[in-house]
Order: sequence, then structure tokens, then C-alpha cells
Amino acid sequence: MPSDQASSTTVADATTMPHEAPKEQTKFEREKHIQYLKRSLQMLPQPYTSMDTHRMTFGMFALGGLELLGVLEESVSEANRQAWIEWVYSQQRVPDSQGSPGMAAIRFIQECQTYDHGFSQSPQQESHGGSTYCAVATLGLIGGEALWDQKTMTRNVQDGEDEAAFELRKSRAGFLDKEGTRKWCLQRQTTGFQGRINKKTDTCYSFWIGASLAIMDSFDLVDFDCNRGFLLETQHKVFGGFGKWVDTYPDALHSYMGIASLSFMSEPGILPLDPLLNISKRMQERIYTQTVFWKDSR
Amino acid sequence: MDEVPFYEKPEWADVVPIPQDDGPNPLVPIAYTKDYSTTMDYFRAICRSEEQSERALELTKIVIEMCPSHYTVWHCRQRLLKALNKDLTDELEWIKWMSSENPKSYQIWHHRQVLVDHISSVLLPASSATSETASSLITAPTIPYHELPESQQKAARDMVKVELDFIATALEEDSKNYHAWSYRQWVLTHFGQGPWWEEELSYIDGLLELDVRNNSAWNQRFYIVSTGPQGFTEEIVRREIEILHRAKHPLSEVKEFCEGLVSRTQANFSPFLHSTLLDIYEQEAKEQKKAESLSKAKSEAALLAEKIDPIRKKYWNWKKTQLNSITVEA
Repeated sequence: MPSDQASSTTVADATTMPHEAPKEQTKFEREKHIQYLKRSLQMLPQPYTSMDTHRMTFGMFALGGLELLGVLEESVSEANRQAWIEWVYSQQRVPDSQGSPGMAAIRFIQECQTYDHGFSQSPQQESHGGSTYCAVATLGLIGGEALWDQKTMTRNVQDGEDEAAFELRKSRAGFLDKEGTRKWCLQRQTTGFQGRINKKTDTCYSFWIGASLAIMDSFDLVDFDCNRGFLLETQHKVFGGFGKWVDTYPDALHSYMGIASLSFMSEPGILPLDPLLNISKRMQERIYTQTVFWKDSR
Repeated sequence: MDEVPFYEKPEWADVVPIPQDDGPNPLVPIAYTKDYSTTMDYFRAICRSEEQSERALELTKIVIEMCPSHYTVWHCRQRLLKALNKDLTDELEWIKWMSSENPKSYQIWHHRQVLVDHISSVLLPASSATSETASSLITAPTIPYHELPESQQKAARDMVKVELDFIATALEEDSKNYHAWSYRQWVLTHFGQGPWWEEELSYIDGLLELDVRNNSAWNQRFYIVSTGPQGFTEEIVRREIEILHRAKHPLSEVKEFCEGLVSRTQANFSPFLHSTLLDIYEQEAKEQKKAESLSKAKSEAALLAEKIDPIRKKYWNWKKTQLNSITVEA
């Protein structure tokens, strides 16, 4: 069967080209990224209007990026800090109370695991890097049994576990096939990562897929040189920030994701990142020990 | 757009615009154009007074065309369409244009689904039974196509055709548009088990003829085959395998085929071929406890790590150490 030019080229590259890290290692433009994120905090340019409803998320990218670069405190004056905290709280709406989402969430995630072991946005759809991260991170945040793998579970015959009890225990495991998910994630690496089978390599998937692998304790199976090489190519050499592809303009989302992805590979000048909460480990520590949010549960 | 913005026209003179309450020092402000911020000021005023009028409806359109992801405005528009009892056919035409301009907007695709759901609920009775194909958490009732009188069956077929053609146009632009595929599955299922399921398969055949590596099309094929009205029968499975034969990937004798391919071509370049062989040998080693299979599996892992798929070198080496836990008979 004939196939379209673009996708046949992609696959040919992935399968027949000898694997090589980019020869000239570009450097990580830490200072430029700091300037880029500081500018974003002050004012996002006009094209962001089409994403007016996502301002909070862009605020998180700018602040989170500066935190990962270790300069958050020095970048934000005390007056701004107080004003922005007020602004964030002013956006809060108290939701209607709902029941515990635990088992319902796990069941939904199980139904989103597809035949190729990635996770889709809703049942029956195509597996996707973004939804795979959402699924894996949710299972990780629920923790415990949610991170089990149904495929490798066996019935506890010695302890007298019967079929029904075994099935019940199995139903609490979030993964139908965790080894399959791990392999699906690793198969997405081209140089950086693609988000779906036979799609283009894109900066943000180094984060979505990389973080999923990190949650499954498998990030060490990634080819660091290739991933890093691609990410450094998507930096904007003049403005700072990262774009989604090589030679695309930077934006706040891809800038944050580029920095976060490099954090998983211990890039000098970037703080370690917690893949579950998607914040620096030191902030995670602070949330766990010094705030009310985790006080009772941990 | 008109030369004179709507807010300078006399018919808007009675409205007192409400400016955005962003506090004295907001986080990540956006450099809005004057036109956008003024338009939003009027939108806030209309929202607060809960005005139900033609001009309110028109205003939602102006805002949406400036910021198609603004879900609050979409919600407001849906309420107005209902309150004013508007003809939704015009709305579908506008959405057709909007989605061609913004093919990746969740809100536009969702709006179309809301409209079609509403139109179909007026024209056709919904089944009280939930769809077998839907996930247990998504219990949307579907239309009992086969129980409908012919006139209603025809109405259903016509609606499905319009929707599937509309989606096909979006897929011509981007054959992997996630929203388009998601909405397509909803349409197929929502209208029940009509003849469109059969036709969907030939549509997928066409897309795979164009690009055999279109993973979205393969996913849709799996969806039709595994959840369609004909059931996931032996016969269907045999037919699908036959199709893979045509694509020169026979599954019936996978091992012989893969080994034959390796020995005939002598070209060790496909990670997928060798990864499949690894899986087969691993399975054999586990089930038949053959030392030979285990050693073959390890050779495949080594070959993948060193020569064929070095970007996943660490994975294949890890896989090799995992193989050590399989016990075989000497």
C-alpha cells in the first residue's frame, strides 16, 4: 500500500537510520530561560488571548519554571508575591461537594488503557502521551494498590484466597498491563518523544512520557543523550524559552515542559522535579510538611 | 467585521460595561487588544443582567470568534439558543466554519455534539437501555434504530450522514485530529446500530490505503470491529487477519513469517520485527520451558540493544536481565 510522504519518512528515519546523538551539543540556555519566564510573568503577549481561560495554568508554568531553575524567590518581590497570592485565591470557587472519587477514578482509568497499553482521553479512543501522564500520575497520587499491575498478580492460594476475593483484589489495581505501558512509553522515543504512534517528536512529550516513566520508576531506561539533544534544539537561541518543534517560536507551556524534562536527566542548574505533583522536590517537601493539604493523609 | 464595533452602535447604548476585576496586581496578565477587553466588558454586563435577546446571542458569537476556547461563553450561548428557540441548522453551518478555522478546539467540537444531541432528541426517541458499546461509566442512552419507523430511520441516517461527512472533511485536513475521531465514535454509537457501521469500515479501508501508518485509523478500525453491531466474532477476527495478510503482515504463522523475513532479507533493521520475535521466544520459554527459546530471546534482546534499536539500549538490556528469571529445563 502506498503511504503518505511525511509518515513514511518518519518511520524510515526511526528504523533504518543509524542511531546517533546530535554531534554539536548546544548548551542549555539557563539565563535566557530565566529572562523569558520573568517576561511571561509580567505580561503575556496578545496571541495568548485565545487562551484567556487558561491564565492560571500559564502562571503555574512561569512560576514553576523559575522555581525549577532555582530563582523563584529572587525573581518575585515580596509585594508581588503577596499580590499574586491574593489574585490566585480570588479565582477560587467552592465546588459542590462530591463523593470520594477513588474507585470510580481507578475504573475509568482502567477503561482508558487501550489495546497497545497506553491510555486514551476516554474509553475506546487512541492512546496518547498527555492522557497517559494523567492516568499514571492519578494512579500514583492515589498510591498503594492503584499502582499494582493486574497482569502479574497471582491468586494467594496459601492464604486461602478464593477466585472472588482474588478478582476483587485485582479490580483495585490501576494497570491492566504495566509492562505494556512501560514499553509503549519507551517506544515513543524517537530522539525526543512523540505523543502518539507515527506522530511528530514534540518537546512537551519529553515531559508527559518522561514523567510517566519516572512514576513507574523506569526513567533510567530512556536514552538521555538523544532526548537532551532534541530538547536543546527546541530552545530559542535569542529569546530563551522552548518551542514545540525545532525552529518554532517558544511558548510558556513548552518552555516549562522543556525545563522539567531536562530536570529528569539531572541537567546542571535545574532542581529535581517530583513527577506526581509536577513541582520541585523541595516544594513538594514543603507541601507535605508545612501545609494543611497533606497533614492528615501523610 | 463591521467597521464600527458593536459597542459604538446606538442599540448598545443602554448597556453599562463591567470591566474585568483583576485586582491591582494580577498574575500573568495578557496584553489584550482594546477591542477584546471592551467586548468582554459588555459580555460581563449581559451575563450579570441575564439578558435573553438576539443581541446577547450575537455578542456570544463575537466573543467566541475572538476566543474559541472560552467555555463560559459557549455555555451562555447554548442557554440562549434554547431560550430563544433558535433554528439549530444555522448554528451547525456556523460550527462547520468555526471548526475549519479552529480544528483543535475542544469547545467547538463539544458544542456540535450538544447541538446534534439536542436535535436528535427532538426528532427521535432515545432508548432507555444503555449502549452495550459504551463504557460502564458513560451510560448515555442511544437511539434504538431498528425499532424506529422507516421515516425516523431515514431521519437518523440523514443526520448521521451529515455528521460523518462533516467529520471526514476535518480528517482530510488532519487525519489524526483527536477531537474529530472522538466525536466520530460518539456519532456512530449515539444513533444506534444502523447501516453506517458497515460503511464506516470501508471509510477506514480508504484511509489505510492512503496511509497504512495512520494509527488513528487503526484505532477506529479496532473500535468498529470490537464494538460494532455484528459483534466480535470468530468470523470477524478471521476477516481481519485476512486483511493483515494483504498488508503483508500475516499473523497466523507469525513466528515462521518473522524468522523467514530475517533469513531472507538478511537485513536486521526493523526493531518491530525483532521485538516481536523476542516476545514469541519469551512466550515459548515460559510455556514450554525450552532453554533454546530462552537463549534465542536473549540473543534478540542483545541484537536490539547493540545493533537494531540502540535508542532503547537500556530498555533491551533491562529486558535481558528480566529474562534471567525464567526457569527452563536444561
